[in-house]
Amino acid sequence: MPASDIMDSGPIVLQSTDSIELAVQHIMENRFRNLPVVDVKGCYLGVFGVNQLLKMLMPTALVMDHGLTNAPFVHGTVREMSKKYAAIKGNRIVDHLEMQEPVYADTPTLEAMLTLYKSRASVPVLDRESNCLLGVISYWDVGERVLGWKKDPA
Amino acid sequence: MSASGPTQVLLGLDPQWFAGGLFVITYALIMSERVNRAIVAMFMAGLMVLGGLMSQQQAVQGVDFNTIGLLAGMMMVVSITKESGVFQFLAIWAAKRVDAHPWGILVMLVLVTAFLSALLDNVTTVLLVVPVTLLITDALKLSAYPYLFAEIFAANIGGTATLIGDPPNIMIGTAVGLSFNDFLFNLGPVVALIMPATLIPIYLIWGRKMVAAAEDRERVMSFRERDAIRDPRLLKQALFVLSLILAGFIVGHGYGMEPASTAMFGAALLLLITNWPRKAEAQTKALEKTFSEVEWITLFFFMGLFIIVHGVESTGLLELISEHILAATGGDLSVTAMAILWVAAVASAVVDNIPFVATMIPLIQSMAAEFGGPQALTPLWWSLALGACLGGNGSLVGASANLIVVGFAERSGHVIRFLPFMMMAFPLMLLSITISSVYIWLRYL
Repeated sequence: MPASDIMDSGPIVLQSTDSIELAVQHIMENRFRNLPVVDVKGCYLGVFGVNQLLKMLMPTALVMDHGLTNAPFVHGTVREMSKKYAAIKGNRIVDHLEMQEPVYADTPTLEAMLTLYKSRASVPVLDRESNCLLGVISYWDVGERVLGWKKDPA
Repeated sequence: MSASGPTQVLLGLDPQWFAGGLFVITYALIMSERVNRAIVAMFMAGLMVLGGLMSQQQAVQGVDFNTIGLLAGMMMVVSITKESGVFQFLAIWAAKRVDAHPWGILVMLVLVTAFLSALLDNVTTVLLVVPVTLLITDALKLSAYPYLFAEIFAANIGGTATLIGDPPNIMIGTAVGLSFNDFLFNLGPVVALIMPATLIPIYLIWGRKMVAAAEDRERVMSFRERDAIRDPRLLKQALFVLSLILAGFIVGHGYGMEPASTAMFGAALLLLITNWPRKAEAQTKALEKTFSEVEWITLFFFMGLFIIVHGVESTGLLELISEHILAATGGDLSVTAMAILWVAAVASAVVDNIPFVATMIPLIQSMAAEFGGPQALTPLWWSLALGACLGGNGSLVGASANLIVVGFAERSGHVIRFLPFMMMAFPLMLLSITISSVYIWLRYL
């Protein structure tokens, strides 16, 4: 069974020109960890999610490579983060994407599940030729199959 | 050391040409940065052995295990100690002592960097201090550039003051038998002059314009440095062992104890007391973590380089070059000392100072007869140490610590560009070398 058989083919998708505010709205309303982002042709560009948002809002020294691994001495930063969010919410998400490893429509299911297990977030499913986004595989898509709530295609 | 001369060089080539050729190629490849410098050093060292210039035994004899042991031991000690959070504590404590005033913080972070750099290697120092600096400048809403610029200088200047502060000093000290105290008492005073002198232009260019809002300063003042200490027990253990190591460096030389023995024993002691309560599996895991943080690339680079320089030295080529240098300086100690200081400084600003110093050590040693014995060479060693360590400030590629800071700056959105940095840094480096020249001339010549 290929990945295309278990994917959700109608996920919420962000456009590269969307604002951070719009992305956050989708993420918060639907409790998503991240959402796939595509260009005008529908080609996959990456994902935008809570990690990218936190990265923008937290002090750079904490989220950069080889930065501080912890900062128990910094207190009361939520108000600061709100201020920072207000300042950046109009920016486009395209500059803050993360390249999450995708799978392809013909990728075997087990391989797609392994990618899901490793990335710990919904996996984008692409068309191998055009790189266009066809859908995503989430934990819930897999769960529905495993529990038999959704039947395998014949 | 030319006693261990070449055996049978490949294709019957002249040993001096063969060794000299490989040496030049080594330098060129290191400068090109096309291949990792450790790979270059290991490959060229291998060619020297396989090419018949020396046997494997002779090659191993060329490696200064005192330098390797000292570096490896200190890397392990720092790797364990940093987990306690003591370095963050120190940086935040320093920033708060000046009421989070922007220029005061810069001065305090410079002092912390210089102090740590004198006791640890420069790269480790900036890895510890720069992230805290970025956190503070972020809170103050100030550009991190002047802080990072000043910390590069502080790391290289502070490291100049001690035997263990900078790799060139470790190499010179172990090759010549100079102690921790020798470095501290001979280079400490000039470092104490250079550091404030360097801060004056930094103040005039950036410092006097630094202003932070009261609210932002309050944010820095709200940092609780005590909370930075994540493991008070580890802190006590690490400080205890660090004190023993320092004492070993200071008094050990008189009892014939080499710095590598002190550092390696200190590392072993710290590993023992921190792992004692752990179960076997946890010990293995902790040990793997500590060993993984040892900079093996640096250590293998050193080993390869020692073999290459030993190979060149065994052909008598360095003696030949030294004769030419002495002819050029007229055999005058003062002229030679100044020449070494300035050439080392300019060279270290543009090329890696480690291969340069590795080459210069046997070169200077071979001048002993001309100047009346090894004792007479003392001013030359201080010239080499000052030139090589301070010269690293001249450009972004002058020292490994500089490149580490550049990496941090880029990742945090404060790009440090090569030319603008050099336009400021090179004259400041020349200022430090001018001060060093006066110091050496007044004190030793």
